[in-house]
Amino acid sequence: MTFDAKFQRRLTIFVFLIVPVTMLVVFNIYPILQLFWISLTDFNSINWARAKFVGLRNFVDLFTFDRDLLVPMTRSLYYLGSSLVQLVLATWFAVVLNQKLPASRLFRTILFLPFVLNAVAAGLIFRYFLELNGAANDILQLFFGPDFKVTWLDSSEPYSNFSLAAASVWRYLGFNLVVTFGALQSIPQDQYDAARLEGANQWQMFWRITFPTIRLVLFLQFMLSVVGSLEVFEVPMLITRGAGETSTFAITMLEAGFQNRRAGTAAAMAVFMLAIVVIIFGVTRLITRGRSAVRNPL
Amino acid sequence: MSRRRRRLTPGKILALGFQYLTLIVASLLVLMPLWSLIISSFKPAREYLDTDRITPPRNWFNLSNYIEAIWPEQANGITIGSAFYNTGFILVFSLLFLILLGSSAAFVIDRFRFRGRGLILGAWAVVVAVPGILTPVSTFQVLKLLGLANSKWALIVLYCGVDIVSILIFVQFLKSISTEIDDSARIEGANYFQIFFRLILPMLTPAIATVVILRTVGIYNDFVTPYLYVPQQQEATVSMMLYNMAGFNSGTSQAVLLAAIVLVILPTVIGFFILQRYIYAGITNGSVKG
Amino acid sequence: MSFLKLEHVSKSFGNFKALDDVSFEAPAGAFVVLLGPSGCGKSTLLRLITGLTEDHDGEIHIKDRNVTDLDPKDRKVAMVFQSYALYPHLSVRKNISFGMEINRMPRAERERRVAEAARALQLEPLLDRVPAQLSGGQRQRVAIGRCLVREPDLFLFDEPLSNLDAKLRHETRVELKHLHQRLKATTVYVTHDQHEAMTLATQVVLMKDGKIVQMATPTELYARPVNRFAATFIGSPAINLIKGELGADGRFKGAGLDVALPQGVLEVAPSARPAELGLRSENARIARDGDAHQTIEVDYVEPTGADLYVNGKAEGQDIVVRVENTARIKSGDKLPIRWQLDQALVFDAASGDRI
Repeated sequence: MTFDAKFQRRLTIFVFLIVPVTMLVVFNIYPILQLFWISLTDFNSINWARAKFVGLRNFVDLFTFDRDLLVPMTRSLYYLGSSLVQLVLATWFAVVLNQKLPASRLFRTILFLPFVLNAVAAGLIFRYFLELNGAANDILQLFFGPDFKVTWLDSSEPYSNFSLAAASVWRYLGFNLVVTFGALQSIPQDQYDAARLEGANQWQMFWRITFPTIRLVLFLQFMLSVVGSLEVFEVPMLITRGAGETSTFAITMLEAGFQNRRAGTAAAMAVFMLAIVVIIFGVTRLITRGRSAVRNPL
Repeated sequence: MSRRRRRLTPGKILALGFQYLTLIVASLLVLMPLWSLIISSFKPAREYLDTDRITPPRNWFNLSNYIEAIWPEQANGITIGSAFYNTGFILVFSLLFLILLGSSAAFVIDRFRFRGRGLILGAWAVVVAVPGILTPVSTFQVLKLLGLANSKWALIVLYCGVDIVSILIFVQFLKSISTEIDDSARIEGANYFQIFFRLILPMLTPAIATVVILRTVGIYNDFVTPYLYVPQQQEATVSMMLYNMAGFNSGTSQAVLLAAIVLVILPTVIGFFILQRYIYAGITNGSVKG
Repeated sequence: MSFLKLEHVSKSFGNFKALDDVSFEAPAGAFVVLLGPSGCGKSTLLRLITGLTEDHDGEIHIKDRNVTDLDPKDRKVAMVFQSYALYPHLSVRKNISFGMEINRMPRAERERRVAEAARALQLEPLLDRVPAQLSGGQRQRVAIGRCLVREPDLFLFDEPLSNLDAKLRHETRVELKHLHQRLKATTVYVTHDQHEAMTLATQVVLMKDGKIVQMATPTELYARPVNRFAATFIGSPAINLIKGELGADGRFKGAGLDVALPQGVLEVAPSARPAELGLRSENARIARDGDAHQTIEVDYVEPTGADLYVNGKAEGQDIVVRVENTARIKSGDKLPIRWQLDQALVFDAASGDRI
């Protein structure tokens, strides 16, 4: 029986999975493995034949000679902090909008808008806004006089990172808002009604009904933003080209790999970051094990 | 929380007022940069230099910047038209492959239990956790090896590669399609390919729509992937075109650049207003992967 | 010559034995109902007959062919599923002709068969509609039509009426009966509803825990159930089982009864043991002039228009009897009853088998 059901099943599985699995291996698994390998060499990004195996030297250098390369990691703290603010704001707005007040739809649309914009466009729009003679200063001049200017984006000053963090909030607040809002929607109105019959006020209802339900979703979003702030790239790259004090870990790593031709070092940095990310995901998994805020379809 | 018109205490009014205030302030902050963008794009060179960035233009219908953006007097890198073409090309093929590969893979994952299923799913999950920004050094080598570097196909291949979210959307939808359909077709003599292409795939239309919408937004807005793998001019996507236009050695004047930005975001904004519901639904469901 | 034959069929899923040495035969034109509670294995058995589930012990023969190793499409069977499994994006016409298209039947032949099936099932005005536009009963007819055009050797139904409301269920049952009488197609039908089994079947296969409990015609099953389970499963309301003692003299004592069992009630010679006396609710009538077997203390009554079901207790044991609705009985009354003892069934208290 060659063409029977069993064979057919195997054939179907094979045919339908061969391409995705091959792509998985070629474009994802292999590059990751090669990354590990490169991190152990002094590959100069061009000539693979001349690359020598150097063991863990790249990693050691990273923490000694090349320590400067790790300095930009501190910038991630700005983004982490702003992410927290972002989450709190998003939750606030989600709760407010959940009350189905008039014009809720409109506000949600407005707040979400920056998220659907093209990344480059969004970055440029915000850069344009914060330029020396940009709209931000124009508005401030309405209050503080025609010569009032703030240098929002001076890449030689660390405080510009606040401006960049603000750009990040502008862009991603809507996303957190929609996700948290979705979680709120899953809470049946009955629970609130029952609580109200028992005399609870808004604050109590939030802490005892709303918060426990969305706690997990919030936590997950937080972990995502932790990883996001570690590997932040787009916002600083688009607004200040990652120059000076606004550089980040990812920007520095790419610089090392592509411009400075130090692929080995860059790979070592990547592996280092990967390790951190894996640990974070592992911790997240551990904390959320057993508690499912949402069903896992697999 | 239902509205009660009866007991609108001063405390309640205050609370509500405060909530609205925060909403309005936030909305203004969000809209301000966009306002600045739009009004500046309608100001011809002279007026642009003379006015600030928050007053409206004298003439809302002045399209000189837009015309200059679309048909520049001097060839200045790639034209908007070509960039849109490139992006469109990439979108069409990426989506095509994505849907085909994703739905068929999801079909096999949902309907069959086989050795290695767990392994593949595990590998997918692991790979997704790796931030794309970390692997360009090696991924670029792979692309070079395959002769795909610096071409649109590099992006297409990368976009339809491992898209676990799309596959999850398909799998979730497949669960709502009863296996009795498969059984009935099998009794009637259909093989699994026929079952998939003639029965299951047409029934997946809502899921396909969701995937198309989400991925179109994702691909159209993407900056990192084209930046890393297809940076040069000829194959520029919409993202790279803007990036180059805004570069230091670009000859484009600022107002024209702004017009170009407006043109780029216009399709997504319009699409967003029309398809809002689906985008929200897709994101809420997509975050299931957490 | 039997048309459908199952020989020593067993199937396990891991450690769970779903079917345990099941064997039965059915002649051509039979309407076999696989009846039993959830989890008894009837659906599994059906799927084995279709070939959708594989890997089992034993053999299955359909119309003199050993189909045990054949794929579903080679077995010449057709099945109506619980949810009908209509293809939602195809019209009724295309739904029905789907199988034929897959098998490359020439168009003329396809259209002829579709037209015939549509006529037989009164589907003609619906041919161009989509399943979403059909009612439950119409959908079922389309599902049956899909089976008809295959001209199969065997028709299979998997609890097809459970999705319908009560009235529709009755109408569809009648339709199915008519269809069977007309087509004389050999059918295997799975259900947990004993009422459906009784009205539709030519033979009932009663199953429990993967084994066949009894295979018989409906009447036989009703009148001569092989054990306690069979007796209580069939018949609504459930048969009264009065616990008591059977004496070696053929008398039964229990719940206030002390009666001699008529000839023919017992299958074997009586011997003293604890037993249960099975009497159905319709085997009773209100006693007159002191010929009562038993007195029941009435708990509550259920009027059903024509009848009155009296629920009560006799010496602590629950009893239900059916009387005419003209009787005025209320809660708390003491009702004397007389039983039709020649309809009685006696079961061994320990094994549950009928004596």
